This record gives sequence, structure tokens and C-alpha cells, in this order.
Amino acid sequence: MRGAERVRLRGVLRGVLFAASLFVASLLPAQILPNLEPERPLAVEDATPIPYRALSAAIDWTYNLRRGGLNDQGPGLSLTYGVLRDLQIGAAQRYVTRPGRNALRGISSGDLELHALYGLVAEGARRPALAARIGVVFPTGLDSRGTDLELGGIATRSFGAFRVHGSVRWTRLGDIVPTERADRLEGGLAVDFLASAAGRTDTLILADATVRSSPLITGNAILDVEVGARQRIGIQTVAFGVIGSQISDTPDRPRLRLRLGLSHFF
Amino acid sequence: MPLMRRFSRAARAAVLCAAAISAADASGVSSEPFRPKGRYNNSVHRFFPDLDSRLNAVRYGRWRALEIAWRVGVTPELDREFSAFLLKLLADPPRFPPEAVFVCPNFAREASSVFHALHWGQVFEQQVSDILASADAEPTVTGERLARALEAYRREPWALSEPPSEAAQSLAFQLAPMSARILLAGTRLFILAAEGLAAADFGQQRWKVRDTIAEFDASLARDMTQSEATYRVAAPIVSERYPAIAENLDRLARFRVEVYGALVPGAATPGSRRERVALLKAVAERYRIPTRGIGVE
Repeated sequence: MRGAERVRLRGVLRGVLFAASLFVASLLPAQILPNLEPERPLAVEDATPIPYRALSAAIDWTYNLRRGGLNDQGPGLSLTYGVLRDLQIGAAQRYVTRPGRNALRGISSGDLELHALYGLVAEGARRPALAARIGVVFPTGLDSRGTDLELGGIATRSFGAFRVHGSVRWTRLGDIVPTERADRLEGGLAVDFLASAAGRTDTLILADATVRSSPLITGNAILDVEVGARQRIGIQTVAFGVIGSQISDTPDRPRLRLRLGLSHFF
Repeated sequence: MPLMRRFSRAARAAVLCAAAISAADASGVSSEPFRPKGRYNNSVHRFFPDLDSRLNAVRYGRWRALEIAWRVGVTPELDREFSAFLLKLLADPPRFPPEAVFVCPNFAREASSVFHALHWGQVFEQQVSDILASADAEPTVTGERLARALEAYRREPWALSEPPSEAAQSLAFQLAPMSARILLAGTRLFILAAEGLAAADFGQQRWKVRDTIAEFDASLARDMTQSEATYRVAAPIVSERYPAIAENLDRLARFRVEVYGALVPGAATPGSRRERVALLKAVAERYRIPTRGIGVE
């Protein structure tokens, strides 16, 4: 067992060293439309942190349609700031109208999520952009218990004006009930591309699929799919919208999720 | 116990990640910051949307020309594709500036330091126009703001330095005459807009801008020398009041022309790709910007 663990650790070490060796010029242009934050509108974000000294604020409203009249809805707020070059920090909070039920699905209402995203390497001719993410979820909301820790990695590769994003995340819950899973894994794949055939950069179409561990020990993995768009409506303002569905989970899962929001750069 | 073991592994991985991040940060290479903040930002967009949309079309055109030239070289194909693109764009000019990484994705990835020099230059050029168009612009305030914008521009490694000698006439002008004419007209639009905004007070700027737009629309069809698209010749007021600004923006225009010249060989063969990279690196060295990130590494 110890041998297997050592091999695994060696794998992690090799991965980290590989990421470090890839690091060359980290050259990230200021961007507004292509800057994907989690849930703005997709669950998957891109591997490029917000530019240094840029502040982005976003607000959205999400509506979940569930079977049996158990629909819920609520606002989400987020702030992201480029605190250093290649390093963004952010805070996000989401409220839902049925916190008790959502807590069972791992979505508590009003929890405060803080994160840092570091751009390890910018995209080059033969390598994707890579970023490391660390997050902490504080139990400031209803039906919340311990502080959760999130660690993740994101990669972005573009092919012309078409981009592919991949992300993995491990979440460690600080306090659980006996039926709850303490270690959760999540993986996602997303694509985005310009809507305009003429090459205008005002509208971005996005889609993603994510798989994550069920919050319950006995539950099966949960698959989500989403399709959305980001539309530039002001010189520093983007409107976004998404329509999504949870493909697998319990019968009262969100059959349809709608989210509309605005994000603004300062 | 198994939980403890898992935690310890995660902690070790986190330490390794932190070490990698510190090592990366220690390399001293940085990314482009967000544009400097100021109340004047977006003034051209707010007060002169017709001018701003044409400026946006020119910005699109510049990036698009780079991407096509990076793909096929400076050829009659570029001339056709680019002029068709820009004339179509000008028929319905865009409201917002382009996201350059989407307009020239391959050039941005494979010649990143030159891309950033041009992008950071565009940010500076936009700041200058916004400062001059600001509703509260008056000579002292404008001078201070421009000095701050120039200082912010010069602080970055992508700021261009004066090359030791003048470059020879670029071949790109002969190989793609139509595109060259449109790009020169675009550069002249920025210059005349700055001149009009600097020469008049806020109440009079509207008329100056109208004249500038009319001149630009007419100039797309006429031949123009490179010197006509310089602040030194076309913007005497800006050159006299803000010589450092004019000098830096003229240098940026010369750099852009030299970059197009370096892309002449194209990418058809490994030999031409190597030649292109060597030429581009030589241009970067002349203007003293980083040469790392040019060509496949």
C-alpha cells in the first residue's frame, strides 16, 4: 500500500515539475469577453486569470426547474480582482430559496466562496495555458457546517478562435454527516467560439459538460450539461445566459436550469 | 488513519504546487496589466461613437492583417482577403474594440512578445484619444494625464524604444498595396482624430470629428505616403504640445510597418518560417522588446 502511495506521489511530483518546466513567458492580454469565471455562465472557467488591476463584478439570477413543484431560484454575486500579474482572487456567494433541500445536494445557500487562480503558463504554439486554483468555502449560509477546501487545475487550448477548456477539482468537506461524501471530485470539459462568421468579437457561444461525485456516499456521479452565451453589451460590460440540465442524479434533480446575468469590468 | 494519510498527501501536493508557483513567479516575466484607470476612459466611445466605431474597424483591420500575413505571408491573397474584410467591416463599423486574441489567435500564440507590444501600444493609443476627448479636458489636466499614461506605457517591457537606425522601405507596401493604403489611412485616422480633439475645446470637437471622419472615408481610395500618417506631419498641434506622446505613437506606427515587412516570407515552407521568425526577432531587438515567445519554442 505504501509502495502504491509512493508511486502516486511520484506521479503528482512529476506532474507539478512538468507544469513548472513548461513555464516560460506568461503573456496574457487584457480580455473582457473571453474571461470565463465559474458560473458566469458555465461551471468550467478558463485558464487565464483576470488581468492585473482589473476588477470584475458579476450578478446573476438562476432558476432551477425540478419535478414535483420543488423549483428554486436565487441570485449569485461575485467579485474578482487581478491582485498580481497572473494571479486573481475572488469571492462568490449564491442564494437559493430552498436551502435545506439544496444542502442535501451540496449547494448551501449563502456560503462564501473565496478563491485564488494562478496562471502557471500562458498558451503557446504547442502547449495549452495552465492554471492552478485553490478555494475555500466558508459556512456562512444556512444548513452549512464546516469549512471546505477546493484544489483544482484548469487547461485552455485554442484552435484558431475556437477554445477548449478542461478542469479538474478536488473538494474536501470540513464537516459531514455520516451519509455524506467528504472527498468530492469534479471534472469538466467546455468549448467556446465566436458567434460571428465575420469575426466580430462581441458574442461568444459556450457549452460544457461536467461530471462530479454525488454529495451522498451511496449516490452515483452527477452529469451536467450547459449551453450558453456571453454578449458584450457595453465597452466593459458583458451579459451572459445559460440553459442547462442535470442528466443524472435523484428524481428531483434540476431538469432545467436557466441563468441570466451581467458582469462588469472596472 | 486513511483520512490522515490522504490529507498529508494533499498537503504535500499543495506544497509542491506552491513551490512551482514561486519558481514561476521568480522568473520575473509578467503579463499585460489592465489599462490604467481614469475618469477619461471610454470618452471617445461615449462622446463620439461614430469616430469610435471607425477606430474599432481600423483596430480589427490591423489584427486581421497580422493574422492573414502570419498564415500566408504578405501576398496578393492577403491584399484581397484583408481589403474585402475591412471594407465590409467599415460598411457597418463595430461598436466595441476587438478582442485581439480572437482576431489573430495564431499570431498571438506564436509571436507573443510582438503581439503584446502591439496590443499594449493599442491600449496606449486608446488612452491618448480618451484623454484628449475627455469632457473635462483642459491643457494642464490633459498634459498631466498624458504624462501619467505615457509613464504607465513605458513601465511595461512591451514599450518600444527608439531603434538605432531607420528601416529600409518595407516590401509589404509593394506586395499588398491596397491593404497598405487602407492601413495607412487607418493610422492617419487616429492621428487626425487626436489632432482635432487637441486643437478644439469640448464644444468644438464635434465639428472637428465630423471633418476627420469625412476625410477618412474619402482617403481609403487615395494613395498616401508613409509620412502623411505620422504625428510629426499630420498633427502639428499634438506634436508641439505633447512631443513625447507623438514620438511614441509614431514609433508604434513604424514598428507596425516593420512587423508587416517581417511577415513577407510567409509560412509556406520551413525555410520561409525560419526566415520570418529571424526577421521578426530582428525587429523586436531593434525596438528592444523581449524576443522570447517568437516562433515555436
